[in-house]
Amino acid sequence: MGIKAIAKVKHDIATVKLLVKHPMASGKIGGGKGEAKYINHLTVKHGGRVVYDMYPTSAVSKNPYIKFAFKGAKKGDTITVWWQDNTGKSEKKDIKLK
Amino acid sequence: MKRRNFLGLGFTTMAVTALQTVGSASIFSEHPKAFMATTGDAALEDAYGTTSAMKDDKAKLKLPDIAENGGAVPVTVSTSLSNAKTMTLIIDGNPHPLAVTWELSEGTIPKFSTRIKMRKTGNVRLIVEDANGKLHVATKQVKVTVGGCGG
Repeated sequence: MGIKAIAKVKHDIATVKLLVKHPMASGKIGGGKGEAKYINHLTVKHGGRVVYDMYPTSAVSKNPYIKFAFKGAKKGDTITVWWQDNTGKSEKKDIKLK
Repeated sequence: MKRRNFLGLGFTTMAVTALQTVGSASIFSEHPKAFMATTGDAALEDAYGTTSAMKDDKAKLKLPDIAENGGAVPVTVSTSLSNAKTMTLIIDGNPHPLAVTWELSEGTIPKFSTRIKMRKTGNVRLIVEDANGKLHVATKQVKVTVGGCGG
């Protein structure tokens, strides 16, 4: 588990790059004997509004890299990254925009 | 004590309502079968109720021509429509082709990058659902030298 982030604001547009530590296992390895464990919902909120809403599957690579941008941000604002996987595990992290 | 109990009840109700709101609006909870479908068209049929999509420049898909490592293929999806509702990435060569769905909201710039797994050479499709529920598609063939669905 762990979320690394680079989030920068230029004018009023925030560009966010995330690296989430997660196996993203399909459960197909070794003839389907492995256990499926992948993030199936990831959101980023800015001041209560959802600015990124993603429904991944195990077809997203291990330790997912995600890049997006949104409008209406300023330096010093906080965004909240949250994800949940198919086993019910979740993680939440606040990130300050630079 | 009574007042305290009442407040506690209020917070519990609020929490439950918030959870329900998140769940009910999502394509994932409404169409869980789409994510388990074994063909791209079956996934689209379940998620959007149709497989017909317009081939125009509204959906944009950026992928390499050749992927040396099928375990991590960089992809960028975008749309020129400012009021699109959802974007869905279909990898036709994978056991479960529906790879990712994004729900779009106001203020979000509809251009996303990530990395995907591809089992074999095949087509990747980006479906963009516009404000009227019509679908737009962009297709790109990617040659995979080493498959990447293990793991």
